[in-house]
Amino acid sequence: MLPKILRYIFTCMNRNLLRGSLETIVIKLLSDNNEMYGYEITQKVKELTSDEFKITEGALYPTLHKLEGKGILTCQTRSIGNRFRKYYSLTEAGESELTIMLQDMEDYIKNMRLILNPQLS
Amino acid sequence: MKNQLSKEEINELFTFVESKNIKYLDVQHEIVDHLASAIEDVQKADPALSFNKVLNQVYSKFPITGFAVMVLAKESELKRFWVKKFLSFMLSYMKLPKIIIAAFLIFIFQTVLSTGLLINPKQLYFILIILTLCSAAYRYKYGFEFKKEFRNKYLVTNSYLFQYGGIWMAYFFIPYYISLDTTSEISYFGNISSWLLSSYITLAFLWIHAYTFEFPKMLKQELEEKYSHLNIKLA
Repeated sequence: MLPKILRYIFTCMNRNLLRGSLETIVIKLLSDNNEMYGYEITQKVKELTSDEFKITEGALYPTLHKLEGKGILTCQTRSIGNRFRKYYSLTEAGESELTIMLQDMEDYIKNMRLILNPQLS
Repeated sequence: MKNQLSKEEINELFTFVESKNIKYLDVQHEIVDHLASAIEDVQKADPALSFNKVLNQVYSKFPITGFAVMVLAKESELKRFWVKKFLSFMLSYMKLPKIIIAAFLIFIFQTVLSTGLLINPKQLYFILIILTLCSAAYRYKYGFEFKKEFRNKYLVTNSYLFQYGGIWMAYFFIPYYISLDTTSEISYFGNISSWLLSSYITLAFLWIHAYTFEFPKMLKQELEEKYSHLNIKLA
């Protein structure tokens, strides 16, 4: 019973950490891949993290819409056979935001390492 | 081995998404593509699986609220988007070169109000109401806001119209303001209240112009850039 509860707590913690980093993940992926669609982003994250990170649709799309609203992303809808697909790409503002976000993330990780492993510093 | 879902299967997905209370077509397109991509991925790995079975499997990964989170997020972002657009347009009257137009209008109204020779504040208020009604008549004939489908069929136009409705609130303040000073000669030149009132009336004039001509242009541009696949005709 206890391992199950612990696993649940760790999953929740992971989810919260992931949620907090989602904007950075999306922006970085779009910067590396030029343009992507929603489902492709979820699969790319799974692939890069060997299934460790799973981005849910309920978290991804609100993030995409939020970034679009901020002017960081723009989208284009194109026909692909029997349906239409929305491709997201970074705007110029998004490119400069990426530099700031990556720097913030690196600083955060560095500081977390210092807190978690003080003997390494 | 088939790579893409057939037209019939895509139509089935649209029916499925609609059955989950997603009434807006623009949102339906987004969800359908996501579901279709996921189904194609599963079927690629195991072609023997039936479409309906995979659909249920894919849908089960969504939260208990279904697609609601996606729709709510999109709705609130779109509303914020339009507010930002409308406000940034109005704020452009506080920067050069448009500030010259705004300042000129304020000065004209203030002169007219303070002398009380040509028109009094109440008459000016009625002129504003008449202009608003003319704008409504113009938009009714050439515009789109009164068509039901723009409110019910597309989230992008629904959220545009939702924010647009707030403009009417502005008109409630003017009668209140006028009631503070019931005389027709509101005050002498230079009085703060006459400057405030003329600024307010200028703002109302600019709003009427913006929501009759400029905001629909913004919507048209947005639809052409991002929603051309929906083929929405505004006029």
